[in-house]
Amino acid sequence: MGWHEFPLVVFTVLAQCAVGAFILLGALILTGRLEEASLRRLNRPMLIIWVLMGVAFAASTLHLGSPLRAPNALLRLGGSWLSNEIFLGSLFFALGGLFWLLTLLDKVSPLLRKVLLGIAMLLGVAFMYATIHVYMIPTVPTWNTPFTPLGFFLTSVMGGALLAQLLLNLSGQGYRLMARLLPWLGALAIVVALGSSVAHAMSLAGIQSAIQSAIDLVPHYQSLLIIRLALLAAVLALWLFALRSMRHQPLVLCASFVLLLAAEMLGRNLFYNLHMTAGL
Amino acid sequence: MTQYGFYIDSSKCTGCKTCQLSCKDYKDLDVDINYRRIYEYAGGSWQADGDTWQPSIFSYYLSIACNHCAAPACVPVCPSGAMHKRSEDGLVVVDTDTCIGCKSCAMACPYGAPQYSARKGHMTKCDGCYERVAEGLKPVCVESCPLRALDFAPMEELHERYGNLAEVAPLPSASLTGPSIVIKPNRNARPVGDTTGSLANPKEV
Amino acid sequence: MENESSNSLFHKAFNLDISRRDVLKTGSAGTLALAAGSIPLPFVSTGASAQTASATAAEERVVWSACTVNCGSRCPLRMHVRDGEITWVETDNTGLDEYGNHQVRACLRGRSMRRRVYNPDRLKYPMKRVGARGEGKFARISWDEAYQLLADNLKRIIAEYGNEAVYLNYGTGTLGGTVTKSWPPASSLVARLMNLCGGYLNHYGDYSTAQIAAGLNYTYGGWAAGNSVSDIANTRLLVMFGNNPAETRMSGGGIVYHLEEARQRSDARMIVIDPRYSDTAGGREDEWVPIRPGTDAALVAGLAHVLISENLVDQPFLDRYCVGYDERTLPEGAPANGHYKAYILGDGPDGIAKTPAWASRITGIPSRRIVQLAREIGSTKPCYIVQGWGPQRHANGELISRAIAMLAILTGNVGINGGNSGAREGGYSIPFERFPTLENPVDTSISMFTWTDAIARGPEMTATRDGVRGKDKLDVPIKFIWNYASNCLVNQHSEINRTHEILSDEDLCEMIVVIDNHMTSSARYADLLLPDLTTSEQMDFAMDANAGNMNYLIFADQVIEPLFECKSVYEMCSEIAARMGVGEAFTEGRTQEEWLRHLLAQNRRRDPDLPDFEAFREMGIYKRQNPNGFFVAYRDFRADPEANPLTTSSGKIEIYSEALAKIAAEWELEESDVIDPLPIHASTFEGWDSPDRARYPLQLIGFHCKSRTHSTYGNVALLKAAVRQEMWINPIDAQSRGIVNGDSVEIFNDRGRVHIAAKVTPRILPGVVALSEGAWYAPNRHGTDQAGSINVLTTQRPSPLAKGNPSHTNLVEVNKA
Repeated sequence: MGWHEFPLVVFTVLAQCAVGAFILLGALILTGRLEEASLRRLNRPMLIIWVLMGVAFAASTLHLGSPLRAPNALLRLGGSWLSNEIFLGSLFFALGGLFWLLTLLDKVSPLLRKVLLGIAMLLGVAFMYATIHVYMIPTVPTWNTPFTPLGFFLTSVMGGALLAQLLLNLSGQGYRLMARLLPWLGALAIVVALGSSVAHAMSLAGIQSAIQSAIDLVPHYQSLLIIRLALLAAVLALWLFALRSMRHQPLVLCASFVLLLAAEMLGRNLFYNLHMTAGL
Repeated sequence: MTQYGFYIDSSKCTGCKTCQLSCKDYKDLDVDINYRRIYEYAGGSWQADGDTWQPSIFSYYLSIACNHCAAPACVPVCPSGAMHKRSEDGLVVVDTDTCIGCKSCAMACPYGAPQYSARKGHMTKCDGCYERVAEGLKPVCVESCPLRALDFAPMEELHERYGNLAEVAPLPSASLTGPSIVIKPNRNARPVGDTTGSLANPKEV
Repeated sequence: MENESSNSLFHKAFNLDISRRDVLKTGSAGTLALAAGSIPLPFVSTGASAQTASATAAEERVVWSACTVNCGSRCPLRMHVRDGEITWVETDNTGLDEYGNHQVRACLRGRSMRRRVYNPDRLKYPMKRVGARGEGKFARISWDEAYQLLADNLKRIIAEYGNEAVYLNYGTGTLGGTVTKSWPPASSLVARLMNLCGGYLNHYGDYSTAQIAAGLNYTYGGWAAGNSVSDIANTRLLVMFGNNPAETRMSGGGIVYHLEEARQRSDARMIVIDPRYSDTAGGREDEWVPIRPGTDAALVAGLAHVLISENLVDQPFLDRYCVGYDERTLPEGAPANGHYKAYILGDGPDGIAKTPAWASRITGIPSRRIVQLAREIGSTKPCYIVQGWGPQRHANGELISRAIAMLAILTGNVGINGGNSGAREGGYSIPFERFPTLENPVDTSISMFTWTDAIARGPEMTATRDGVRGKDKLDVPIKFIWNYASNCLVNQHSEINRTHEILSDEDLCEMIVVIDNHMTSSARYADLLLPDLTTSEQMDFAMDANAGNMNYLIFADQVIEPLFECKSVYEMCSEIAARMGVGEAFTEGRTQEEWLRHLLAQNRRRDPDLPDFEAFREMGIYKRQNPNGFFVAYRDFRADPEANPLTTSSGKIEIYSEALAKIAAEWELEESDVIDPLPIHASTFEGWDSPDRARYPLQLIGFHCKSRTHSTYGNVALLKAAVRQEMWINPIDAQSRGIVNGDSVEIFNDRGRVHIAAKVTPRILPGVVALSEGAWYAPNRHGTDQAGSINVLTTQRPSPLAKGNPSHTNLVEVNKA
């Protein structure tokens, strides 16, 4: 298995986790009637979201042959899903970041900030939607399947939920309803990921061109998949363990999140290695 | 718009690769970049009969560059617009001054036409020698073919002269991108969708 | 990976100065745009556009040159030159490319000439050996030193051992030239030089055709001619024995193109008999008959059995034109039932009827296919039966070459349009008298294949045991070798490990002079290394193409200035001649260009249709149709055999050769080596039925790699990547050894070991593996070749009559490496 698309692995996994966490926490902010102090306590560790987004975008430029020409990627906005993805991702980054900054500095009215938050959340959804479409290429039979959007969505849900849990925990708000719901959401997503991964692996048997069978693309695919699923199981175990034992909660959640990133990056790398076209 | 395209006579093609090398010389390409690739598709089996052998095997070559498709898979995915289809001749060309080297086109093309040059930092591909075509010449590969197995002309002319076949194994279905090619199949040719053979020279394409 | 590409291959190859422009282009265009403060979209590389603009400013010239390698074709190249450097290589683009007056289009190799000229392996200045021989350690010396060293040693060796100790090794690196040709060595400038200095030890035969030349000499007398390949347009059936022009004669003005055009005209059925499903077949054949290597004579005998017993032979032809078919024409001195018919029907000394069933067991071809094939050949006229040179390049290959010709003889297809002699296809050539190389005062001659023996045990070599000609035995071993444009010193000679041992002993051969363009595997064994010009760096006329009905001459002009300190072979030989005291006699006061003008003028006196020098230079390629239409071999003989007898001793086609009967009785042969008056099938050492197959179960044959001409172009990275060096193996043999396509394998026998990738392909007969000849020998420290050089595995044991190279008679085993 090659790691030649590692920059894209980092970009998509980190961005999906960040967007997922932002939307979940955004929902809490919009509906949770948080008093100003709680909001600001929560806001502070949300910096991690923007650090992840920064790393993601930095990684994405490493994928380019001519990084200095990166702005050219926007030239076909509206026409190319990659342009759309980069545009929407950047806008999400900018407006979400602005919301965070204004909250941190306590500038402009809370209502306006909430409007800004709502827009950023919608942009996050649009960003994720565009990313999916970048890979839904009709000539790439191994990508152009429902497993691609499902897989990307699950990364957002699992990663987002766990990251949101960690951020709530870091801000001392683990008592909230949402914090208690997140593990269930995560568990559900992980179970779906386990099942869909197996279904996906089985579906590969039906994909072949004259010169390439999808099942031959990645040597030891099954073993690598089992490693990923085992990692996800460990993520869930640590996650639940962290919530039961109250000691070192942030640390254990952090470890769980790192494991989750490893699992998802492995899975995403498998995805890129499954690239083949319908032809040569 | 005139749509130019290639005629590929697989019945004549001996897989000599002069087309590939004349292109590499003219376009001054690196070792690992092949604007034109020659695919060897082979298969079949042998039956022993006492001391003797009976073969039922096949093989043939397909010389494929860029097919300058009617609906190219590479163009819509390109974020910079560097990959574009020229209105004057229908040739699909990458503007190497704009390309960011994101490789999206290479991922999408089912013919392996766009290739990333690490040395140049951008995508490269067959441009149909559009500058030569504008001068009334044919692409270098076509003029180089020792067996006269390649041709290049407006598609109407190619269709009139050589028919309409644009797919044969191991190529993908022509319905995917509408390749601007006409193929004269080798007698051994297998239909598109065939999986009884294999690519015999994966490291040469 | 080697990166040869840039706008200046020359600079890249030799690490010369990189211009500021290049630095700008590769470095910092984007940064500059950013620094300028405005960030315009799209971001473009301004360096690249500047590059294009300045490049078009320099004027481009187009100069005709040629590809002068030993493929049997010859191609014109149109070199595009800018600032004294070749920028790209075009080929014949003249006329409308109508068949008959078609363009002579170079193949992938000619189109890669630029990368041979500007190759990192180029020899740059004269060098003398400083390490052990073959170690590849050299020190740069001046031309003066080089000439003096050479002349001193040449004088010393001639004085000490005589001129027979000086040998001109076979070499075909520069072919078809007038001044520069390296083959035949007797026609090279080195021969002219040596002939002025008392002569040298001759050789006969060549690595391509030793056995067929010797064998068919006794059938037809002299070099056996074949009908023009264009004449396939007049045939109804084409039977190819190991003939594979798609991989051996690839020029777009050469045999493969003529074959295709001719078949389009005749729509003749084509039957390809070959252990490999060659590219000549490749869907163009009507039938492919895979055959075990070295068993073609058995197939012919089986076919003959059907032809004779079903009365499909041309009895009047056999009676009138041939000797020894049956008792009617059997020479008096021959034993009773010594004729061919008796041999086939089982009435000869072996008492075995050569039935299809008999042939089937040997060849691996089902009996019913042999019967069908015989009936088709016997009932279709005219039938063009042709053999390539693979079938004869075997132990006992002389017999095989004669046997295949029997098929054409039995069916009376000799001397008619659409038929053939059963030899390799012929064609038309424009007569052109070359550089005079004078007479060799020495008569003694050895087979070109036995020079290693002549070094190691020269004085033991005799006429009847080792094929020494002109003398009963050699008196002196070879002490001085001229190796001009030749990789036969190591790479292209059989059994490399043995050659290495013989050459390594510096007491045996005392001086090896290599004149070449590149550091070949042979060049590494030089004592003195002289850097030659490529065809692009000097002027010559190129010709000698096998080209059917349309022959041509090429004006290969000087395209660029000589690189480094390289000099032309003409200048080298002139300088050495001067030091040998024959300078004036050698040059006759002419420069290379003056010689060319002189030779053309002389030829124009005989053939006024030839263009003059300036017109020829302008047109680049001068084409001419055969004024007599299709060349038909032995047409005159067929028309009137009494008036136009062959040069055989009987003047007829000799199926039974009395001369061979005499040789067979007199010569000393090793076990299993067979010389026979009849073209019989004989088992050989390391053949399909050899007991050695218990240890080495696979037959190994060579073939021609499309990206090389023998070993020439073998160092061009682009070509190496385009057609990879691989060993062909059938999936059945691969599977039993756990080998999958692309695996690295070890091929070995008692003579050596080779590591290379396997091409697992159904395109080869089970039990047979094939490795293209010519890859540049590259031993690791254990002596295992890493390049796939077949001659690590081939034998130096010569064939019985020609004393030629049995390159395709090898047994090996293959393991996953």
